[in-house]
Amino acid sequence: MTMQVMNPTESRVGAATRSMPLASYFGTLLMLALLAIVMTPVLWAVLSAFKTRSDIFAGDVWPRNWSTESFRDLLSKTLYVRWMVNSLFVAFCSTALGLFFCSLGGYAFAKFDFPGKTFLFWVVIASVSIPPFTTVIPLFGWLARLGLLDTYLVLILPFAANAFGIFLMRQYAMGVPNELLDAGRIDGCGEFRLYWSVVLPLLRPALGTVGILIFIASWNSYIWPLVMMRSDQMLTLPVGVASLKGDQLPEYGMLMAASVLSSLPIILAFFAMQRQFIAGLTQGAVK
Amino acid sequence: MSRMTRRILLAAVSAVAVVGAAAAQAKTKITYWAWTEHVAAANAVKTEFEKQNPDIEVEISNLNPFDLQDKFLVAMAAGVGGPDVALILQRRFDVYISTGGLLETTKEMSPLKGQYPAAVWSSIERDGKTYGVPYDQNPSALFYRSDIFEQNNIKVPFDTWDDFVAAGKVLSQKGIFITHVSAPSGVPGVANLVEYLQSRNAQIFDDNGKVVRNNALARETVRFYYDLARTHKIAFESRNNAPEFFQAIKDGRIAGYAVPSWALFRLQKEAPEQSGKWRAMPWPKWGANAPATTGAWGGNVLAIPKSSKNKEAALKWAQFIGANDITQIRIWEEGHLLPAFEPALKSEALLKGESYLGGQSIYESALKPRTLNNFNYFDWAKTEVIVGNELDLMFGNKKTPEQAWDDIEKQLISQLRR
Amino acid sequence: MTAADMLARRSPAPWRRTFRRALIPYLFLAPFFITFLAFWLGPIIASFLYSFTDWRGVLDAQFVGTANYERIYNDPRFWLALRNTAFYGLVYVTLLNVLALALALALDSTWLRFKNGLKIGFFLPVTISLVVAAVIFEMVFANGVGLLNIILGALGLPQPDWLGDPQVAIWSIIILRIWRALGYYAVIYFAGLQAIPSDVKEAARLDGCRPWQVTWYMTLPLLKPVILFGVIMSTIWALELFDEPWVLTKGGPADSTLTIVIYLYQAGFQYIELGYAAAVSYVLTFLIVVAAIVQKLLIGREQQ
Repeated sequence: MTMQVMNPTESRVGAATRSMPLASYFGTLLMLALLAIVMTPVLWAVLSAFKTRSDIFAGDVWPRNWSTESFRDLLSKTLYVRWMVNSLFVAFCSTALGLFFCSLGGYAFAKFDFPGKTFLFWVVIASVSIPPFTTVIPLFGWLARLGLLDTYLVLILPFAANAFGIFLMRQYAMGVPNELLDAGRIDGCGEFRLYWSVVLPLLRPALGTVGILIFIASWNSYIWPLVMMRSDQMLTLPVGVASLKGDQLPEYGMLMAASVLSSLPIILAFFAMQRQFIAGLTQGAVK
Repeated sequence: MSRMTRRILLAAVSAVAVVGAAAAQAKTKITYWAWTEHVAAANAVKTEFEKQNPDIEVEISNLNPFDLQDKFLVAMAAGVGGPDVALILQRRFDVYISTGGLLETTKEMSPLKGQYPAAVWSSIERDGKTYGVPYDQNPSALFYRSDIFEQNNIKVPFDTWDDFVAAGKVLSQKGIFITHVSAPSGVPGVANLVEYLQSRNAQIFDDNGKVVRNNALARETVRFYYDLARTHKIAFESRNNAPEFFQAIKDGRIAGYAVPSWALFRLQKEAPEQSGKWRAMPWPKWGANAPATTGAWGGNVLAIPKSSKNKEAALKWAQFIGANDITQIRIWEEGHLLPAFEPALKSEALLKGESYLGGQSIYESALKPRTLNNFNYFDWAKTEVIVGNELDLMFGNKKTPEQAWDDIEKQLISQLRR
Repeated sequence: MTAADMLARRSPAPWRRTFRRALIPYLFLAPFFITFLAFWLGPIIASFLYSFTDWRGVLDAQFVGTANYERIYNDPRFWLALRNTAFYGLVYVTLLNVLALALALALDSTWLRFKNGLKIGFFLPVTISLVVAAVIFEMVFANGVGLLNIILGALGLPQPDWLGDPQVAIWSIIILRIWRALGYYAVIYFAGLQAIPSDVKEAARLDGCRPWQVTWYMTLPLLKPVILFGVIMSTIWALELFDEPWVLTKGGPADSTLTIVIYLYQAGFQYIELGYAAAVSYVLTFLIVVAAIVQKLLIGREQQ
């Protein structure tokens, strides 16, 4: 951004923009219209969350009687807060651990030559194409025998080993200048120190990207936590919320309220990491 | 390097230690998987159970019912990690028996055989052995809007389906539907058809699990089901539980609902403003001289996996909620599900009038006058897919009801080899 | 390598240095690979072996050779699932990537206002969990009274039964899927666009190129690697489509939204034919790998 301000052509671009305000307005209007289409279901869910339970099928968009009944029920009758904390905790741990695993491994793939490198790399890439559910049943048996069911560890580890993550990290780490690494080695820097204090800071933008990939994968995961968790207190948000959609008695109001509340932390996280995310994808993918 | 590694190792070790500590408890802890209304019923009797069995502690998990089936299946497939007791959809139970992972309960349950309706008992019995404990039965009744019926001079209760169709035609002139048919059907709508099949003893499989050949009765029933929607045009068509269905109920465009007593819960929730306007009557008969029988939609069974570490405690709990008149009546109180254990049917609670039904007791006025027929479920997961698809083709005008049934029969025979 | 040589020369025991140096990449890969092996590779290999058995759970599995694979080949329902998935994948991948790219170009342009608000707005659906999205869209698609049909009715357009008509249902799934994924891919493309140095575009513009020419001849070719990434990723997810049709239509009506993963799920999780399900998953894996290779050849060709 600062580069652009100093760019001598900037003033001319500004002039060009000013000379076509009509196109700008029309374009913006078009985008806002598109946004309106995308947002309509969300807004409708938000409005429904403020309806009373029996008004949800009443057929009008605007709530007849504004009510926080759904929110109160959600917070008092279910373990919503606990599920939210579980999901956030698990997603943050997966992300942190995944960033460590993937950056360390991606750096090794990018900057070291060793026997078996190509083979290992292709094993990782090929694993992306394995459909879901394939791993669930064999794993469940092993984890159950190890007594690891119903633990956070089981929800964290599989997401930390993210194949896309190590691939993107490798792409990005290839751009780290060799001279910098050599200089570090001459200064007597140990290899892990080199990774930790030289490479990792340079990978920061990619950490944002991979971080969001892992976070969203963990946050939206459904079948895995469903199968692996056993007690109500250990459920994650999507699984817990699904229990509100019973056989004959879907709690539509509470479901809508849950959608409103559960989107908030993700939006905040997105805001916080946005700049890194964008910068990371940029360089990581283009290399 | 070492500091980071050590930190991670420490975290991993402490996590494992926590798990280990949790596993080592003095009391026998059993887990029970169920959903919403059943969880409420279980919670209501849990304290009493733990008082009677001070060495046992029950942990109850509330899950989405369909998720629960899948989760249970994974545990069955893996042979470990299941709950001690789980509530399983009756129609799926046969598949679980065939995995060989269910605990046999013949010794404990066979003395109680006479105390359950045959329709419920048959689903837990195979080759003379029993598995699990019966839980509830869901005999169907006919719910209707008494105010709309009165305005149109419709006499109730109906004796036969002919009366029902005649009344439906009166209402349809006013743009009101007398019932609902799950169209498109898919898997979720098959249970709707089964209500009708079961109520006139039109079996898909015989008692030994063989597909009934040239099944005229079933073919006729599918035709009847189709006619309700398409020929007489007296049934509102939608997917099962679709939003447009509830909206139509609220708008007063649907004046009847041919389902089990769980309907009351649903109606109360979606349309509280119609309180006092609804009534229930017995399921119509298939002819003036036909037996007074009904079908079911739903129904559940308590399953105990062989892999349970506390089989005795698990069985105790399953019998406590499935073979005990005092606790069984709770599932009626919490979700209007009729208990399977017949001694529970003598309870006063069943005679209680419902204000939503203008003071009527569903059991007294709509359920008691009918006997629930048995229905044979075999390989139901596959059967449901086949039947649901053919019903869709029928409602999509690709096949006549007769063609659809013949194709169902053909596919069942070739794919299930039964 | 000069630095390493120098280090080696300084070291008192050169072979130990070399050995340690050789070990380092493996140590660095170890945390990832141990986890990866335990949670991904192990079970993947195990289920590959199961795909040659009649495994049905606790009962012992028998080796059945390639019987499962033959059964897949002979099941018309699998081919129907494959056809649906391919159709869906083609439409979805094209629409999604074109829309996301257009959106990203708009977000990257100089003329657009309210950029931050728009970005958040388009990203919002990504954060809504599946069950909730399903409930919302059941009501959006509801026949007659749904939001979509109310709008179409007001505009005087035909109002199809979005989830009930076999011809239309797959489009409902595509709409929901694109709604859930658009923001995610738009952000990916937007990030790619931000990476293109602005002086390249400026130079072209100063040379008298029209904005669309800049986009077509400069921006898009430079963006190709990101597009390849987006297309391959969305194709994999398209071929593994399960969540949306499962929660909305269960594969119906009349199998019109049956996908390969629904087929796989029914075999594994409902019929408990685990060996067969494992075989289906390997057939799907094979198809995904083929699709990815084809795409890489098509899009990435000039780049090599």
